[in-house]
Amino acid sequence: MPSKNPVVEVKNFRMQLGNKTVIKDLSFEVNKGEIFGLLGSNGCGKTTTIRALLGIYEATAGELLIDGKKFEPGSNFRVGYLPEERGLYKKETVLDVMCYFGKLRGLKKAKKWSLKYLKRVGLEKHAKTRIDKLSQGQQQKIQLGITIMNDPQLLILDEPTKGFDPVNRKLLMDIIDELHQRGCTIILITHYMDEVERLCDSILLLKDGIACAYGKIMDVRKKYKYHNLDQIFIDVYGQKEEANV
Amino acid sequence: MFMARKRKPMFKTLQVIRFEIMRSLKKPSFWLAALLLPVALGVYIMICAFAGYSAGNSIDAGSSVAELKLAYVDEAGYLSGETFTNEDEQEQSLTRFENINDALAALKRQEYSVVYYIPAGFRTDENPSVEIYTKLEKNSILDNYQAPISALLSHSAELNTKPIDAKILTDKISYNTTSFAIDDHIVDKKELITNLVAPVTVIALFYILMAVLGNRLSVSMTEEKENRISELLLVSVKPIHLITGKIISLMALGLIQLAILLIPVLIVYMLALRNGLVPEDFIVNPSPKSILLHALLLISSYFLFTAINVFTGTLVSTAKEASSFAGIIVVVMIIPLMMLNVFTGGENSTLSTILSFFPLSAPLALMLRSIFGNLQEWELIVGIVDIAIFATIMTYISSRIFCKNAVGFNFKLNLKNFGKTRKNW
Repeated sequence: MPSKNPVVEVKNFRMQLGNKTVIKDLSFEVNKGEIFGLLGSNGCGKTTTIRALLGIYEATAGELLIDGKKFEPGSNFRVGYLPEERGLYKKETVLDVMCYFGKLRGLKKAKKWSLKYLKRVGLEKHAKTRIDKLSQGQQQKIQLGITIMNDPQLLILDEPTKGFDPVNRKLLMDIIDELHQRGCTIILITHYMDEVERLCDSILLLKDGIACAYGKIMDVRKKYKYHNLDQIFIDVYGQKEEANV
Repeated sequence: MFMARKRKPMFKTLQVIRFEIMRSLKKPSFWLAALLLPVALGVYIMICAFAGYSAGNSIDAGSSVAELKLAYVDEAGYLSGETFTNEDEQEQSLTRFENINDALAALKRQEYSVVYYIPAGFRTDENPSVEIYTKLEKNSILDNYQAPISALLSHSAELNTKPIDAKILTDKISYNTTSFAIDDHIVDKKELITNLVAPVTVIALFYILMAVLGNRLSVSMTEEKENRISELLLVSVKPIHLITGKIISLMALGLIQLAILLIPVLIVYMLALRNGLVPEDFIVNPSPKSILLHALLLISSYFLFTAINVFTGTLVSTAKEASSFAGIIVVVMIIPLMMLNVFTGGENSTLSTILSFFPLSAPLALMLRSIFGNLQEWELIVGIVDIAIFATIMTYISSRIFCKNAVGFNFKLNLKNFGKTRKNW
């Protein structure tokens, strides 16, 4: 059961990129051990929020904290991040790339861990293969491995199943389950409401830079009087469409 | 199963250095470039040597002296005339002095470029020789002032039939050149070569580094952006550690390539030295201080060149754009070479001083001034510090831009946006 111990705190967050205000005023918390769904249509500011949370962007206003502090690489709190825009060093071997990222994240036995992971996902024979010689699905497995190799306390997955084949999708779900069992807090950005319904404890539905719906899934359902999250999504964004018309 | 631990920030920089160096060393293209470089340079040197040999012959024939003011003292009374035909097919005359001291005084006042002295015993000496005195406006070992006096002697010899004439006509006269420096002290050829070793080596190595590594430097910074790795990196390592690691690794790779080039050269030199094949004038021993200062100049210059290339690499999105920028940087940095006459004079001009301390032009300006012997030690030290500080600033700015540009992918440089990257980085 999730505890009332916020791992992520976002308070009055505002983000302006150029002349555009992407996030107007956003506040939310993600508790320890929770799987949190960050939802919204394309361009509504989900990725921007995560980038600001991870310190890649400097927030225009507000406070974004992980474990009570502004995040920076090398902090004691371990974060795993699978970005939406993801790639690898294509000319290098699988093992070299995994070891590099492992060491950057402070993993003591990066090579041992990498080989164990490759065996688990059936890529042990490809440890010395160049990344660009792997199939797209195999590369996705490597990306997943790099994301979780530092045993994250907070795992942020930005559209993780985008482009994934069913095998990798199953692998991802297994990993999410495993980490969740071990108490890892997870933020999931996705457009697939079935994944949200199945995995998430809480959600935040972002629209026009503000939170339209935020809380436990049950509470959100009650508020919108729909059982289906898809319907809630359509309802929230349908209002926008109607207003535009 | 998981064993993660907090490491010191420097550890991450070291990891970046290790990764970047190892992956380059594993590439056949690195070794191909490294091994082809000595071959290419060998061919270049041979071409230059051939061209130099041809040029040397033409100087001996009497060229390149048309603009010089020449004087002579003929105590032996051997010369039968004072004119010779120069390279412009014009009669050029020498001014006669009766006394060598008067002639040398006029030379030191720079009223003449060269004074030839034929001593009283010239006709009877077993090994007759002619003394040549010059006043150097710059470090130079290439000037050859032998041709005019040789022409005059040959002309005189043809009119006579004494033993000395045969020696002249069979080229058995020795010519001893004495050069006076700007401060009128006598410069010997060995000292001149010794003074030139460090600056000439530095400029040659810097040129090689620019030519061989320029493109690789800026392209290496676009790889993460093109392959969408930046975001993953930015949550693993601070940009300043990443950029510092990249710069150090790129510098190290350059030094490895230089080592591949220099080690065989040094081995050949040592073997030639051991077997007595090196001419006495070229057995030089530059001072440790000079070697140290010029090594620092090379390192700081290469640091600047690397930092600027990395800076442009962070600005652009693709390797193609990065290559274009790298070309522009090289052009800016070699401006002093295009203005060579600014540095060849004995006196320092305002422009040469400005170019010596303007960070982009400073490396080559300082190297050239050092070669031409008009660089004070304090100027060299200030220049090195100036270059190093500017390179450090460029490194810091690159890390800020990388942070902003890495995830924007289509980021346009904008001062308003610049401040919005992570402030505590």
